[in-house]
Amino acid sequence: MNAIERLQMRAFGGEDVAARPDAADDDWWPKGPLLPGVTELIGDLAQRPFASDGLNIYFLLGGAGNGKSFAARALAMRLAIDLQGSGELARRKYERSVDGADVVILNDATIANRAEYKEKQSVALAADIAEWTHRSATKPVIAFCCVNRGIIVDELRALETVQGVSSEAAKRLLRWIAGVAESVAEGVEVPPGDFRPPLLLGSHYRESSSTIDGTKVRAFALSVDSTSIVSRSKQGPKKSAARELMAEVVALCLPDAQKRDPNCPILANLINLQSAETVDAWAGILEGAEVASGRYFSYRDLWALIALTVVGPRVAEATSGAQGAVGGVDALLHRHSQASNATERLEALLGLSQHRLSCALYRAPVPREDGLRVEYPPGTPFHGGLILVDPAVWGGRDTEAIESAMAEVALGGRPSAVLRTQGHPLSTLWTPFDDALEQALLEEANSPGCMDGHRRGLISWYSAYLIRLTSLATGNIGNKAAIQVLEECRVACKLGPALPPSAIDTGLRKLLLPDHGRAGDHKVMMRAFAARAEPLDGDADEALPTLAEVIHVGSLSMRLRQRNGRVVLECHIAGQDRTVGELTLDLPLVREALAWSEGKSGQTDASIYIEPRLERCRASSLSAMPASFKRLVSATTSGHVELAQ
Amino acid sequence: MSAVFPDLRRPQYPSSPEVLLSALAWSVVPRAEGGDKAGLIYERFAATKGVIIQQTKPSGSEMVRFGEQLSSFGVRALGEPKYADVAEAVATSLNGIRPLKGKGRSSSAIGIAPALLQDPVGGLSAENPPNFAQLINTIYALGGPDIGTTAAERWFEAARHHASQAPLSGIERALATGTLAGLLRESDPWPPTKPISLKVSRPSDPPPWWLAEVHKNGYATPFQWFRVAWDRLCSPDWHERLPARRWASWAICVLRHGLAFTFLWEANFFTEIARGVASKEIDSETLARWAMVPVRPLVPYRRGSVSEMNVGSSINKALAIGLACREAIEELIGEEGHGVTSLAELVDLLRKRAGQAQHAELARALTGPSAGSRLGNLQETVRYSLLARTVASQGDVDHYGMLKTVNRNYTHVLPGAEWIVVMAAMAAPRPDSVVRLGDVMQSIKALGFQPRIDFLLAELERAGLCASSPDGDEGIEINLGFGRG
Repeated sequence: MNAIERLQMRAFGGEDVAARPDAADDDWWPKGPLLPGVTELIGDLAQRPFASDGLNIYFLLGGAGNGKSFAARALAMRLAIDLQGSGELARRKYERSVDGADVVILNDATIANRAEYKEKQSVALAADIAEWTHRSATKPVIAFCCVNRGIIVDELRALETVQGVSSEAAKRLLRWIAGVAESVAEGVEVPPGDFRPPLLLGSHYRESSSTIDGTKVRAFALSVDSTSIVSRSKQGPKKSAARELMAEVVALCLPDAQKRDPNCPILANLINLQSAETVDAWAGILEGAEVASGRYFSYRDLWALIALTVVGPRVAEATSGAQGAVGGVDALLHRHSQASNATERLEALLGLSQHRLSCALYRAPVPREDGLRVEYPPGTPFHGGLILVDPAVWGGRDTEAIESAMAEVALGGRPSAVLRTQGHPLSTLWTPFDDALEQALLEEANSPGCMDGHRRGLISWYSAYLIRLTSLATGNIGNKAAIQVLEECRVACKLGPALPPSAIDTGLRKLLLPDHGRAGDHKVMMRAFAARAEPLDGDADEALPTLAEVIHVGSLSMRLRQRNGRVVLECHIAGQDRTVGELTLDLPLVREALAWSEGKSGQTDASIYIEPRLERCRASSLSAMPASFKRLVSATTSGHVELAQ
Repeated sequence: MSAVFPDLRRPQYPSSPEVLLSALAWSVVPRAEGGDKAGLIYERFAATKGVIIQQTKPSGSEMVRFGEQLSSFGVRALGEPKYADVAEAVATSLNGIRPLKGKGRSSSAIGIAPALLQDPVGGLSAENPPNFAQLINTIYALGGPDIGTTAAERWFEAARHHASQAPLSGIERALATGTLAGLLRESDPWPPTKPISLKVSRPSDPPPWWLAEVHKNGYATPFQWFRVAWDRLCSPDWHERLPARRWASWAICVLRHGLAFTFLWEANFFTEIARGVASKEIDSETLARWAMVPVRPLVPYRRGSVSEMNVGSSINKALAIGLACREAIEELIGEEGHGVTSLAELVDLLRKRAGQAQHAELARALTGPSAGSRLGNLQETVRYSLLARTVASQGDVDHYGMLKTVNRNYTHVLPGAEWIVVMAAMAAPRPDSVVRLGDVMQSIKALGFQPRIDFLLAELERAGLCASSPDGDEGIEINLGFGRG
């Protein structure tokens, strides 16, 4: 198997997809660094600074593919525990005795064995914690648990019905991990410094200790999914796990790619990705996608993204007998070489275009001959963010130059020639594949037999193709302004509550409390007892007197806060601290706030989804507002009369 | 004597579901003797035959008098008195949603007095409407152990809070001394200090086997969902955080879903029992479990073509079979079964009593039920409880429906904007609780609806409720929007 095929296997279901603590790594693959805090936590456990008593339990929390099992293996190596040879199947628990203590490595992603846990299968983690607590009364137990938060939620719910797990320690620990409880115990907290000063690993780390049922319990929890592996680290301006891994993969795959057909899009991709600037632009696009979706990529996502960028989607083209993406590409290249006319040649190249890095990344559709049918390659969970930064959909900075170059088609010229003459950044990414594609596309579009609709479809698609490809040269993405503001918000409140940046402060305030001028400057008039907390705006049906409340917009203050990786906009009554309304600050809301400042509020594609959220926050906030902040009025279109209350 | 089976009185759906709150209100606020000669509706648009209905919204010359009453309780214009204008503004502010085809409009049923501005007779334009309060109290009682209170009494606690808040408090007093004066007992204080429950609205006793069965096995049913949701919504944690009108809208949403899903549950219950008695292939314990906790979702939502996504016909069919099975089972049990202590025992008894003729009757019920007014009312109640209402104006949109008519033939699961908000909120003990997708799924499953996780996630994302999704799946945290205190 060559390097490209290995990459394809890893991304689409090979043995390396799901890590097992007891499975050895394939040294051929490059490795990314452990997530922030993991090395320190492993070091803490290995040094065992606590006295040799009680239960010391470490949790790595996060979704699949974030490197928890990889970290468990790193811990085993550090403690010189040999986990290998445990059997063919992944195991849930690995136990060894180390220096008089029982060390347990638990991989909660592995479903608990029914025969072992019986009726406690649905509360397996709680049952394990209960057993360790019991055991630790006579012998110290150190547990290292890789846990998905969803499982904690399931277990907490199941604990309400399953009999037989009465351990207080288990219930308290699960509640603490789930974030329901602030500490593992109430009122019996052991001073934090009983064995060492608390570790300061950041807001994604917590520790708590106490005596529960007579046993000393120390708990340490680190979230492994609350930091970005694609954004640049503090160590250098261009360093990130994503950039380094991509560069190493390109170096591994390029020798095999160079043996391929010159028209192969995989070869074209790898030629492009040899350039550090292209890798940097690629990582920048991923950063934008993370901000846009509000979700960090996991290592598993990253490997899939690397494979997707290099090889393309797995099932981009129905091929007979071809296996996987590389097989599909080979079949299409064969079809291209055997094509007897321009249409067949273009069909093959359009299929191949889905494997070009820009099309694969943004999940670009492919036009077909009938002019109406458009094929989309399969989507993945991470495409949710990438689609939001697609410059061909959301208008990147490179759009204008490319659209003017497309006028060249009508004159019989080639858009790429114009752009390359102008020194357009596209030139740096231009490959023989792109050249063959453009030539075939223009030949088809300019042929007398090409129907008008199909011709327009082809030209429009090709324009998007060039815009997407250019973004890999410039790093320019769609929705850039909104993403920058969202990132600004995220940075602003990283260390605690912060005011919204000036770019959206007014927009957000106006969205929450729209001032239509009915009640005077900086005042908003809201219909009283209405089903929706919406302002009066002078509609015809308000000719009748309407009961309304007038509120000064300054009565409501806003601040930003980070919660579990997302930015939340909190509303509070001016001069008071209590939060009375909340909104998750995501890309659609930021775009709506920015649209307000351009006088286009209510006109974004997401307006229909934004308004209910704004209204709910408005209703909640105004409901909590003391009567002294509101004036009751009887309003008509001609004015309003203030009422006594 | 308690019934052998859960005793849900036959319903009829009011075109304005605010009437459900009004029915609860009139079941705990005593009506004056002779005050029930006419039904009440807030605003009447068309005459009704065979039933006397009184409009409670002031009009014409009554406006000035209402304005004077408001003024005497502090709701008045500063400066020159504008009684009619102020009265008009207040009266309009109490409007409920205007249905497209209804003969009248209810008030929004906020607080206590505005909830008393209509009753089931006026809301349904029917002389003998169902006793909604008794039905709702029974659903509440079936949802958990007897704690000595009813759904109507829980409503009273929340309504009393809203009624005490300015400016509604002044409006309440003006209505009590004006529009409602002849309808309320003169001897009772206003605002009422405690609920005085009507005897006829007390809940039916659950069957002797019911609570033991539900508790022993921890069954999650639509009754339990309603009980939990209603207790939460009526608690100070929730009613103090929600504006009066929002609270009333949420309460109506919970009532609508409680009504619809308990009748769907009942249909499934009797269908399973009838099928089990007819075939005898399944042991009685298993059959009892399947009857209590439906194996399939009560609303069979799935993705697909326009016709595949239609749930209207399957709901109607399930209700038709369920009603026919109920009648056949009731006929079969006769006067027996009052002493049984478990549902499995009851199944065994039914199997013993079923002869050849009864088997044929059960088989007929399971295949070809006949139509009738009871069935029509039942199907309409369930359908319109879940369906987004068609309304007379854009400002009256129903945000709380779960179903939507996509064309004349097809009804799809297409929740309104606020549906998921209520469903997610009712999965949270308090407005500031941490609630996750798994909790919402569990809560909705108890109701009898089991959509795929991607459906719920899409609804939550659309409503902007997802606070974080690092883990995906059931661990996704939901931000209800009320803050963390």
